[in-house]
Amino acid sequence: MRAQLLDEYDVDYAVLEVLSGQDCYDHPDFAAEWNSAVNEWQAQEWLSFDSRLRGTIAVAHEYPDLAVAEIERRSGDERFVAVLLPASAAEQLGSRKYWPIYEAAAAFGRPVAFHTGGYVDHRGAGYPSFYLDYHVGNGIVMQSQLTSMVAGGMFEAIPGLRVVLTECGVAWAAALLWSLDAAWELVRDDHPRLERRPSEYVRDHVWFTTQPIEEPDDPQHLIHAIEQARLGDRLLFATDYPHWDFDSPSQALPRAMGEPLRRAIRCENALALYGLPRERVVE
Amino acid sequence: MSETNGANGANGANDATGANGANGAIDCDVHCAPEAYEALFPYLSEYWRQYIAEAGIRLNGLAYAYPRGVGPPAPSSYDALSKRLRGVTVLNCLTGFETHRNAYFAAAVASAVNDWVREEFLTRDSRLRASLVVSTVSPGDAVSEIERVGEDPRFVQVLLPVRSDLPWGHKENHAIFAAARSAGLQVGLHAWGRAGKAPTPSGFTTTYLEDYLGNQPIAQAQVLSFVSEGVFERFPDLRVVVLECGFAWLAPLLWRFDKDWKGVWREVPWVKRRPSEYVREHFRFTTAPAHLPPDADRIDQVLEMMGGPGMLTYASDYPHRHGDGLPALLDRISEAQRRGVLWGTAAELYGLTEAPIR
Repeated sequence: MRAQLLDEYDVDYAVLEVLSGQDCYDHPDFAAEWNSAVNEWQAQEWLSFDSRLRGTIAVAHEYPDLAVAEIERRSGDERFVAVLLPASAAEQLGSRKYWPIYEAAAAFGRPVAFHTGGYVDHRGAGYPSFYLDYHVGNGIVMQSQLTSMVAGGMFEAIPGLRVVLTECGVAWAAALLWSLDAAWELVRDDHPRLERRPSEYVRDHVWFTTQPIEEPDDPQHLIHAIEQARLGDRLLFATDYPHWDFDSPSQALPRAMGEPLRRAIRCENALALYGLPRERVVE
Repeated sequence: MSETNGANGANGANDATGANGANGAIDCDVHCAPEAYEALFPYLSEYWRQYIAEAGIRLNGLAYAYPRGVGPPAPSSYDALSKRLRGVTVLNCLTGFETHRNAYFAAAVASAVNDWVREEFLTRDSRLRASLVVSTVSPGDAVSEIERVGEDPRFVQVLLPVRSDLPWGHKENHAIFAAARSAGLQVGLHAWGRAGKAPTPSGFTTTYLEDYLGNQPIAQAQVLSFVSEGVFERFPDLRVVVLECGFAWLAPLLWRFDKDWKGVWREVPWVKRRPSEYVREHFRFTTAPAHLPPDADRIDQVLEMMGGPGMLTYASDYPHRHGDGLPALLDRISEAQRRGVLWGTAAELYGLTEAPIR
């Protein structure tokens, strides 16, 4: 990783996301033990070896009491900068079942990062035949999850909660916000707990990682999409190293963005969200 | 063909988003629904009448599931509908979307709905067209139903629910598209569908808002399926109209679809062109809901990015409400483009001329 990523691209900080404990059908004791081991492994084998690395707390998310215990256990280690959950689980991620995890994360000052993957059998349109549909569909799943998160009221209930939607693309956000706001106007009676427009909750609570960044023929369209959703200070650069659809730190963001936005996405937004020391970052 | 009718398009559209359908517009999505299965009894065999009566099967869900603010149940008779009619109108009856896993029952109900729509509505007003509904359980039964009634020119498309067990592009479903094209029909993909499994790609929902907006992500999954399964290579004349699922999501979806296809195209060698090219050629989207940005300049961006207003075709979705996006949209496009959205796109899709079919 040093040779291929950190040194090669002059990366100042890299956040590890270890997905191997993200299946939701494990035995609870095994799930808790496995995720705890994953975190210990991160600490011993990775974080201790390179000060550029940061970890994320893997948890047995289907068993919130066990997940909360693991968050408490790791909370004193500042190198763990977020709590990691999959983007798909037994229930929708806005379900109150998972709120204790979100409350613990917020209490310990950690965002919750939802990473593409996890349970894959919720398929309102049926199961796709090909990896192509499945992979494009990761962005679609996250749209549905963000709808669940907003509609279920978790941002209203947990004011300190910050979430990071990871590896799901970014350009779809604006269209979803318009739909959420329009639908909320129509059925406000149905959502007495939502005191603000859905887009306001998203604005205050939601960050997105960039990979796989959408690539319209006209790069200006991507900038439109980011501006439409007011995501300029909410985007966090990600490579998805070491996967085939890796986004290069030096090439993925179109030049048309201009340097201030590129810099915000490449480093400023993440420094602010995770409270990372900025001494390391070369101006 | 659209010259005379298009002249009052803007008024018509404002009208459409408020109380009424539009003169000079083809309204691609107006709902009707029987109040109870008993209304379908004239079109069901004695066996199914008994089956319904003795088992106490009731219509449920769709027609009455809407919370306050979204609209009343769909009209169940021509008299109830007729006050609303202004121009050429495509009726969509979703009653069969919610039937059962019993394939024989699903086929019988689909046939009964088509006969009911024909007798109760189509025979009574030459402005009316309708979608042909089919079994969503058995593609074979769907083909039989298309062959049974598809030659009637008043049926303009085969209507499929956006929720499905298999994505609609799957090879198991291609016989439906072959039958549709043989009968000169297009395909409509309409919001909603059978309950019983998660209606979204992320799990079960707990509120109407989630169900309602859940139609949009699964419509996106269906768009991917039609392209990746090679449907349009096999049926180059097929057009798919996506109804009541929005459209502002289209451009970002295609950006990612094209990008991923460039990486893994070998998995789907029958996809010969960039996915976005198939979508822009073969898909159209109705204007209800038009969930758009509050800022007018941004509306221009959305239209430009998705491929222009030619991708859109007008629908009121009577009697349901979706907010006031449509007037804002029509306000941002040229007169010629308005005529396209209100009339031309649908006329081309469905082969409709100005003179109603007698």
